[in-house]
Amino acid sequence: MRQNGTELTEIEQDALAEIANMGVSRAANSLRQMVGEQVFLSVPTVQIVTRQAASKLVERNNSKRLVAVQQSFEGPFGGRALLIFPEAQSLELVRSIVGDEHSLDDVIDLEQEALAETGNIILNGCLATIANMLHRTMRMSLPSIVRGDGAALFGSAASAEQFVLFLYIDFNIKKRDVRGFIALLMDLPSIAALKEIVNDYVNNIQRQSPSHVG
Amino acid sequence: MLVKAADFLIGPVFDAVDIGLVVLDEQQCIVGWNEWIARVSRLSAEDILGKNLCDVFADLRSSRLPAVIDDAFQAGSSSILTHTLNTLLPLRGEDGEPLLHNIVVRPVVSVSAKYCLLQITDVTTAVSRERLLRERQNARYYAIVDSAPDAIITVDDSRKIQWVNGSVDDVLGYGHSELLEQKIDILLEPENALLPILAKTSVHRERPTTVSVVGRYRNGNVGHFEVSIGYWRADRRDFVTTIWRDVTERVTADAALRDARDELQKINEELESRVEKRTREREVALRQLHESQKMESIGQLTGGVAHDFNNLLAVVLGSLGLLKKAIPQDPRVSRLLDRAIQGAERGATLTARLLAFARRQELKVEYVALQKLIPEMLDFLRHSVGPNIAIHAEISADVCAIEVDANQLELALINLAVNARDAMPEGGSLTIACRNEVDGRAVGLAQGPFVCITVTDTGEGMSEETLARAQEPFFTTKGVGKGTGLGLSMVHGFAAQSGGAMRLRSELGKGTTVTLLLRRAREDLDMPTADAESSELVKARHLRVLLVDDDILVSMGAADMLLDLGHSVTEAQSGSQALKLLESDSPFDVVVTDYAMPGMNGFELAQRIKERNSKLPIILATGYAELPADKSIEFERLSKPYTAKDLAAALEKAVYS
Amino acid sequence: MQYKVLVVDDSKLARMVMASAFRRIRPEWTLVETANADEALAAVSADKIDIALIDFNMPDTDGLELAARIHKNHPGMPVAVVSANVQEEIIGRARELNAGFIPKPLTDDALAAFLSGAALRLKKVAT
Repeated sequence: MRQNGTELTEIEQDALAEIANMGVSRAANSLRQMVGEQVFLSVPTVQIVTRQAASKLVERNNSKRLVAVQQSFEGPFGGRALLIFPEAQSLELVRSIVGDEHSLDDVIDLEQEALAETGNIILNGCLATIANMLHRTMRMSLPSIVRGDGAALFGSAASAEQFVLFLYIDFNIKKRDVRGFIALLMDLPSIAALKEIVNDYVNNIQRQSPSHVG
Repeated sequence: MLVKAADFLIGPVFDAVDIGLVVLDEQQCIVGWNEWIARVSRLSAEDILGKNLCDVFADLRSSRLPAVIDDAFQAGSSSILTHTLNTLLPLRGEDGEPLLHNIVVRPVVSVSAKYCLLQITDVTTAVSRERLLRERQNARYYAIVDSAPDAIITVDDSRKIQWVNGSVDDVLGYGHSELLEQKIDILLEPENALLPILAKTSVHRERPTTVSVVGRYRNGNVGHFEVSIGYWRADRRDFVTTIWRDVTERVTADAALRDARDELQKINEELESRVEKRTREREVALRQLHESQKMESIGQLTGGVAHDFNNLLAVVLGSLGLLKKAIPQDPRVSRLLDRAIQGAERGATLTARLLAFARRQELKVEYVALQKLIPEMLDFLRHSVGPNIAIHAEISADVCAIEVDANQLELALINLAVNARDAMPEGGSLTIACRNEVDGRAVGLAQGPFVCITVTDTGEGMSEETLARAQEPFFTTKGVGKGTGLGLSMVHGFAAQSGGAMRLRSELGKGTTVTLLLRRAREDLDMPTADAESSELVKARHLRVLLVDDDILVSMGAADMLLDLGHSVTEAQSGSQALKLLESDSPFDVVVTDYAMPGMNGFELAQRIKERNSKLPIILATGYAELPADKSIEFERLSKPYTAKDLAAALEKAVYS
Repeated sequence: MQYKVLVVDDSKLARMVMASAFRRIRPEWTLVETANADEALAAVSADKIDIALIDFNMPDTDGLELAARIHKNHPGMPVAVVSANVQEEIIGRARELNAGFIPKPLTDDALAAFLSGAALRLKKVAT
């Protein structure tokens, strides 16, 4: 297959995975404060896929009813960040943060907002880490909630955002397992920019340790 | 006109908005504090400006807000902090109530410096609206659930009751809170279908179902319930919802109905069996009645026929007798006449035996020596069976005499011979054998010596079925016009009446043997004189006879006989006529009256005569054996048809003894 | 004193970052890099490792578990858990193992502080 400049090299993959992990850890730290118990978050894989592929990936397990917390970002690279769950799991997530063993219908008055905040924490964790690690500032929007199937979340064909930095994300909060996805939709220039920045970063580090044996 | 950003910070717009606006510098110190936030925080801008946010609101240090503000500066993140997940600022509304709010954190970059903007929005109305909606929804939900007539009980995975609806009181008798945290077991009788279902571990995979259980009310009474079961999961725990419907009434009603139905069925069955039994009894009785009616009608029929026949025979016999006397002694003529007389006499005996069968006429039991009787019959038998059949007699010399009505025996043998003949259309042989049987018990009869007469033919024989039915009256295999069907039954009747029995043995294609077992004669019975047929008539002295008979022909015949005997005869056609005649001065020595007469019968006449003149001998001539046994004692009886000899004997007996 | 320091991290980048900082702070010491628990344990038994820096967030390996194992066999060895995950539970567990905690992203100061402390401890033990 022709190299179209969107594939990650090994070192790029490594870097992005590390950054993603750090970002998610940061989010976990924030959530921990709210939850009161240890929050387990991990990012098993990072890959760049097409929008269509991402759309299919999020619908695995036949869950077509999806909920996403969405934020857009601008800077050296721009795009949309989505934190995606199957609908049933999304409220599980919120409740796991808020509730205890008993039913909590009366506790959450504004469930939707709580979900937005939770997503906001996680996405911010990632985006902020990226920004920090790469020594760049960005501008990020407030979160909004989007519902639909994979196609609805990842936008129409006309959109320029063709590429998705796709992360599987595993949560375990208060003994509840929640599995979701983080997707950063970017257009080609943004992907390229991101890659460049990542490579710069890597090179910088390499330069600082010439005797480093990888 | 370009408006500088700074102007807006403290400008009228800043204070006009209906949200709280707080501006922080990079040290997180407050550089902007708008009217709205001042109002709800009860802190004026003068008091606030320049202070560190977390110094003013110490509780914020443990919240996310400081870190989030940092992120805004460092990374440019925008964040939202909702009241649900965070404890934020101590704000109050105008009513003094806590003001629920969200905080949005945004970086603000101006030309000279970086700021962070906090937007504080009042969400109280939204919250209360949400709450109201939820309460309304819950209220409706509770109303739905509580208005259900059935009790709804939810249990967790350890069978502890988590939730009940209001109907548990009506259905089970428990107050709302009494059941919570108790195990659902207290509602169930030990043997029930519900607990095993609840005990299943993978409950959440089960499909909803319904079971019938025996449950317990609060008061301890037992009831029947239909419980429907549904499964659900919440907060990672399995729950079971049970809906209880009290069906005790229905169950007891059903049981009662079932019992009643069973009872009814039992009664029905009993009734049916009783009806069956009665029907059978009735059928048997009917059959018996039918049989006896048949017998009666046969009796009546044969009786009637025989009676008429008797009368005719009497005429024939009478005339033949007279004829014999009148005709000169021509041997050929004599023989012919004898034969004619014999035939008529046999016919008479036949009808008499018929009547005996129909009416169980008194038998004339006498001493019969088979060695004599059978050889004498052979001639006649040969004539009866025809030339194609060979007749053999095997009579052992020492065979004892028997006590029977000789005529009836003859008749029986004739019947058997005729049957045998009919069974041998191509010819064959007939054997009559007689021997002694030592003891009747050996052949299933009473104790005592018997004599065995067997009549064997070599004819077609009978099948088992035919054999079984052979003794039935009117049963015949002989075809229309050929057999009366009375033969064997008559023989059987004769044998039974004589204290013996008839046995049948037959084999299809081989032949039939009829065995007559008859009682041996007692020693003290008088041996009749050898001479059976004496033509010597006892000439009695002249009698004046009153002859009463409604049948002119018979009367004539009888009159001739009397005249021939030397008597004088006066004839009367009815009882009343006879009585009239008796009143007249012509004296009579004897009355001979027929029994069966219209109006006054012979017996009645005899009684009337007796009343007037007890000494006058009366002879009742009965051809139709209808006389009840007791009534005939006082009057001499004469069996019709009678010969002149019979008549003479009766006269002798009536008049001279 | 020259010490041998073990770094365990599945991320090559993280190891690079560590190495880079290490060069700046303690250029005279030796750095042994491993990518997973097995390699780390092998290195500890084979080479003479003095100090261990363990990444917490590794696939298939709980960094703290590894730290515990190393600590069991080498109770005197200074160990630090390196992680972006600064939740108190993690820090608490590290403390129980008498291990240090260095947050990610790694700063030179944090690393320097720990290495100094480690060297001090080793010197004390030696005497």
